[in-house]
Amino acid sequence: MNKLFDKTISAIEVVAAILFGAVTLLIVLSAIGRYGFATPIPDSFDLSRLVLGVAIVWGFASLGFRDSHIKVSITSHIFSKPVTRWIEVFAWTLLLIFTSVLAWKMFGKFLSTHASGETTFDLRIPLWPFVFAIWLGLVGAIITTLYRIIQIMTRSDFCIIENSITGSRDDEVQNDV
Amino acid sequence: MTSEVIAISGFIALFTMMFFRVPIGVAMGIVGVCGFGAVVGVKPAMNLLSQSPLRTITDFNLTLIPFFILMGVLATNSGMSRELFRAGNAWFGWMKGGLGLASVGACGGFAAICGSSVATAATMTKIAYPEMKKANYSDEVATGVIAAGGTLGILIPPSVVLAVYGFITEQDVGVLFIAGLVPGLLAVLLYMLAVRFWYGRSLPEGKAFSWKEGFASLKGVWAVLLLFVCVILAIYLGVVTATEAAATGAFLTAVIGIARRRINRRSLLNSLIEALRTSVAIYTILIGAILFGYFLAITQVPQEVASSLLDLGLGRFGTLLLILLLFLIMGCFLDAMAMIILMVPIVFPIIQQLGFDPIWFGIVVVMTVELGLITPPVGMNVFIIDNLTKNVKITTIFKGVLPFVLVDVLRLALIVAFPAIVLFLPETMS
Amino acid sequence: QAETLRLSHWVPATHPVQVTGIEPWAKSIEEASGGDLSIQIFPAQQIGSAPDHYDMVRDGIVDISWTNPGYNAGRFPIYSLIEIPFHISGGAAGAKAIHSWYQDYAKKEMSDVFFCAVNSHETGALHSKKKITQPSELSGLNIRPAHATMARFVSNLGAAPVQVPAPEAREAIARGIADAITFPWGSIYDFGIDKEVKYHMDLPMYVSAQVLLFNKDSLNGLSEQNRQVIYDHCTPDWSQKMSQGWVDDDRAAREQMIADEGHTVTRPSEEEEALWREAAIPSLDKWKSDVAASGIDADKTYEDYLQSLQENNADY
Ligand code: NA
Ligand code: NA
Repeated sequence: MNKLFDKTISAIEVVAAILFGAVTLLIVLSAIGRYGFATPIPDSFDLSRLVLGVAIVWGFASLGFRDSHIKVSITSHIFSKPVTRWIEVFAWTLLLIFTSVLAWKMFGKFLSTHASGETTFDLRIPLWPFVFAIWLGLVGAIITTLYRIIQIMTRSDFCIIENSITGSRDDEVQNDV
Repeated sequence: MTSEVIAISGFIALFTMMFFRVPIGVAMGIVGVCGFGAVVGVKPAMNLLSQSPLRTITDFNLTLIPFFILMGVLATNSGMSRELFRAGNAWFGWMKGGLGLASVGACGGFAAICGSSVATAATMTKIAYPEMKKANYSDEVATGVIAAGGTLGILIPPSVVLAVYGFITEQDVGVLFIAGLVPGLLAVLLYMLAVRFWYGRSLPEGKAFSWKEGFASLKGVWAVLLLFVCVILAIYLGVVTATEAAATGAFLTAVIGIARRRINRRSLLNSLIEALRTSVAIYTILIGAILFGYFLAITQVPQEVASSLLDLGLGRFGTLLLILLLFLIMGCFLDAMAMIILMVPIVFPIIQQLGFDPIWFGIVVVMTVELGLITPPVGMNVFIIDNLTKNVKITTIFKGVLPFVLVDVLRLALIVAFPAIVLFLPETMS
Repeated sequence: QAETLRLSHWVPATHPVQVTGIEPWAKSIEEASGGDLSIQIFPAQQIGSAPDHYDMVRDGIVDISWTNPGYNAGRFPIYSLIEIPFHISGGAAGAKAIHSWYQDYAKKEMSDVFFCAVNSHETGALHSKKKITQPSELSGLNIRPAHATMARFVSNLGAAPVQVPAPEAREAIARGIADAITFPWGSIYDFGIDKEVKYHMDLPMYVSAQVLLFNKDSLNGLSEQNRQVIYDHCTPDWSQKMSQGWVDDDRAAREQMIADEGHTVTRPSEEEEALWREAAIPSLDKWKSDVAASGIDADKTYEDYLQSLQENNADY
């Protein structure tokens, strides 16, 4: 179960990362197209921001699990482990509530975007599939956050600190130079 | 309840939640929505969530942030940060305390391709800290140098914080980046002087220097130099927008890494994932801060603060000083990004009314925020180093940054007294 | 007991839109209600970003919003008729004509809000780095269009539309990302673009007319007298009145540009003008087929529009 879960989250992250890479490439190509050939890629403005939005929210789902949100970290220096555990549960529950309400409202936004017929600027691609993908990412975030709360409550090593800013652990840093 | 009471309660709730480990962005978002609800009504406040967060994550003006982060991550993963340190060491290492100077130099060099301070501090902790330990540097010096050097990440362009400042105040991000260049170099110089003259005697002796080694090390840093020059020159000459410069910079870093066989398909993917995670953490703060901003706007508290500040009759510089003091105090408790987003919309109208240059103020604000990154109790850079080093007390790190805090204040005073230090370079732009 | 409504818009508080349009309108409401009803203005996207202003007022985040329907491409197909170039000769009369024509359609197309007024700038022009008087000269240029309809118009003529937000327009032009821009005359100065574009084609090319919308619950929640005051301030005449200050500001900017030796303001010849009007026909056809697809009588809607423009002396 745990393994399957980890694998799913990794897969989500890979997809989000590829989308992110694709957006980078899109902007570079559009800039080249404009300077080199006076033909920017149509809708590069809308497509890049919308696809990046999808990547960000799918990344948000993985953050819900990995605890790489930016936080103030004084409590672990002050309180005992059991108290710290309950503080963690409190914090993650608020994250869960926020994410859930956001997902609920985003579903409404998806419905209203679908009904409104709003499109991109140049190619007139409907916007609703992007909003739907973003909503899906939020649903993913609810699941990952819930899973994390269960882990905090049940595991003794709940306070293992992953590097909360760069998101990378020491062992991932390359030493080949 | 009056709007003022609601606003003050909002701030108290915000700090309480932040203290109890709620992600900063989420805390701001919750207070923003609840506070908006208290003023306008629950239903409209909830409806904020169907517009604002979606707009934030799909805002084109913010896309340069993840690109610049990606550029920094790719640079690290292709070994550029290590090369910078090696070059710094080869050239400064012979002096007493040379390794410390090399670390400051490497931080400055890395800041030139990385947009974030905590990332600069984290990267340099992994590279420079072990070397300094090996050379018998005290923890105080080793961590202090890196914590302070890391703050250069948001002053020397590219800078995520400057980008956000530009977004909020509708200033040209390219111009802001160019404006950060000279103050950034000044910072490197002052930090080096601080290392030499504050810690001078206690520092270990350097290692002998060989010219051969010195020039060999320069071969390694051409890539950093090339990238920085390409990106900054493109912005300076106005060939591309800052967003395009960011995407192209990230793309070129990947290309150089692949060409030098430092980056393969796997590490490219890992870099993308890592950059995405950092970006998401920043976006979470942006989402929350923008919601919180709507709450403040609806209470009209910023306008009232502004008018009562002006009513104090402290004069131009008196008011500026008071604002900077406020930033400094807030900086002791708040994250850099969060502070920019919270405070700038409140004070920016005052600054404009007083006739200060918005670009110059951007640099001043970033330098004030830099100070907040290394001052207790909430110094983000210090926390990062604390997380990454074993057996170093957080108080030791705070003690280690003291001389750098002093030269930071000196630099701030210089730039307030002589705005030309900031402005002469951007004024030469087309 | 006094009632307060919150109004949100997305231009700076010092812009003629607020100073000469919204503020006098709000003041008139306050006076007509005997101080019983007041309007609190939130400028400059303080509580929401520009493209969200329709949803914001629909969802009750604000009571009144100043919305540009053109920011939501494809969402208000009937209204986008006003975006088709070379139809309107003046902004203030145009606002009145648009209001008279659209108010019935608004009940359908903007059904979840109350449509109050139309607010337009003076007809905008094409501003460029090199002299342009003919449609064929657009070919191969990068152009920052006013809205999605204009984007189609210029791409039909072989130009590439470049979408950047209005505040970034100066940057885009300065950096050679765009060679030309369709913009109101005053905005050229407001955004500092006058340093970048020196040639101006002096034809009343287009408008990008904003609408003032009310949240329905907010409106229905008002006392009967106050609601009547609002109805009295949501008329075609008010649309014209509200737009006049902005239009005057744009006209002054045009005069300033004509007087400035560094700028060249060129009126195309009559033959060239005919070519421009002809060039707009495909855009109109596209509009007709678009709205026809959603079950609207395109020809009749267009006839109504033309008639309203003629009745109000706003036709091209
Ligand atoms: Na930097
Ligand atoms: Na701090």
